[in-house]
Amino acid sequence: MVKLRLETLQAINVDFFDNLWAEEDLQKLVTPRFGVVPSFESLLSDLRRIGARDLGQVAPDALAQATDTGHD
Amino acid sequence: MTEWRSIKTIAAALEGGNRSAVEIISDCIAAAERTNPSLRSFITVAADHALAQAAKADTRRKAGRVLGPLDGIPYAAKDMFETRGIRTTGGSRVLENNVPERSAAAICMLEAAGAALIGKTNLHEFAFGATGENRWAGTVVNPHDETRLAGGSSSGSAAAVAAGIVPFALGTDTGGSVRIPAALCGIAGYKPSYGLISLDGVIPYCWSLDHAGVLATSVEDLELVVRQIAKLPSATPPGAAPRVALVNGCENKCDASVHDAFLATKTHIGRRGATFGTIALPDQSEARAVSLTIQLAETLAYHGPNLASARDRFGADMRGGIVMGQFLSAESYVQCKRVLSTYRRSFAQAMQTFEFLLMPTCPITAPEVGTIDVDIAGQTIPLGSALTMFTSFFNLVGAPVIVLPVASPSGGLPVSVQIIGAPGSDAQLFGVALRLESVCREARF
Repeated sequence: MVKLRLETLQAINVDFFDNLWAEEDLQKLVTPRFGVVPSFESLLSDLRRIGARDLGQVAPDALAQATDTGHD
Repeated sequence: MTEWRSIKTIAAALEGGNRSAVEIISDCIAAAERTNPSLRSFITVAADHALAQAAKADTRRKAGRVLGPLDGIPYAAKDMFETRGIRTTGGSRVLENNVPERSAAAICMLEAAGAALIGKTNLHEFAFGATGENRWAGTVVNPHDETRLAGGSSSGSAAAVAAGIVPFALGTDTGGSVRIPAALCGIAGYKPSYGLISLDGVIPYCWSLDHAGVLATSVEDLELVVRQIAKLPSATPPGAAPRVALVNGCENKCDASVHDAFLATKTHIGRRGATFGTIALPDQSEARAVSLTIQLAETLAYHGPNLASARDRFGADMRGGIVMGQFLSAESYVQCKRVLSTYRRSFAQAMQTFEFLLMPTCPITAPEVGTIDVDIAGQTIPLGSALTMFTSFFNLVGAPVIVLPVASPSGGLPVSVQIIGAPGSDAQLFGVALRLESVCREARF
């Protein structure tokens, strides 16, 4: 499980995003749930699993190929 | 629902000379203005524009130059569709004074067909959300029960049709935004195959998953409109004994009224000769993560540059989404786009032996305004997750979907099913939906 800390996000905000994000924006990311997104922390956990999947040579934008394959 | 609200009956009144387009559209404008303080379905009512369009339609009709079945028919468009000379806000204070110089392609096509745009409908800000709550423009409530939500994000479009203000409306759908409000408001809705209806001139939310769509009171009306704005071949008559796909146990993730209505509809369809088989969909939490990651990254790319100048004018949901997109990695975005490719391939293959997939549209009926979580089948789920539970996957695979209201066992709030086709099978799906619509209406408990 990824553990998000406000301090980490604040440091990234300063070092990488020129302090673009307000404190209250960052605070939302460590809130268990807000808006349409259940939890940023759980999303990151899901993304770790997705990132570990071996998809072979599948291209990132294979809409036409996928559709064509389906109608072969 | 009164009969005059369908395109067919309005067209008959115009053809018969019983009413002029100006009279009909004046009534629509009056209904929009009368109901808006409570329903909040419109952000802008374009009365002068609509009456000018109506006058032109009447002139054409008198001269025997009727443009087609939509000439003089009123409609509304979600405020994501750009409209020349008419304010287009995206449901956001960020664009509260935005008056475009051009119209979206779908609006142009409807104008060429003679349809009269009466106004721009309310939505979840920039289409980011499934409830239709909007602090700046007001929250759209459900015409069936004004203590409940209309659903979103095309909330105003659905409410305007369900309230009988207009016979049809345009919407957009990135994770269920046409289908959810159509279901909660008890009307028909259509999300096409990816790319079938042009998004040119529509404010982007997520290029990879955005679909333009239509909401109307019937499948017949949906098809009539879609034929004006997309290249849809003639519908193939469905087979007498269609092979229907189901997802095992999905009805068990629904509340009791949806569960019962879905099973009754399935039984009714089976009695008419359909046979059933099952398909598996990917793990729900994985598919949701894929969808969210693509949405958040793309909405950041589009709206991020406006942050510096308009930070305080974005609503809470949008700002939350944009900041979250900022902290996702490029690798995650690309990997999710690759997973999306695999979903599309496997779904197309799974659907090869079926005419359509039958599922509930939403696991719940319209929730009360202010609902945060819902309890379904012993689990507490955030409202947004519940509403999109059965819809968002079909944006990932770009499949066409038509939602149909079905008879509710309690006779209370609307309940809906969705029929889903393989990508590119829109014409066949309309053939199936036209037949199923009457079957669904006949289903009784």
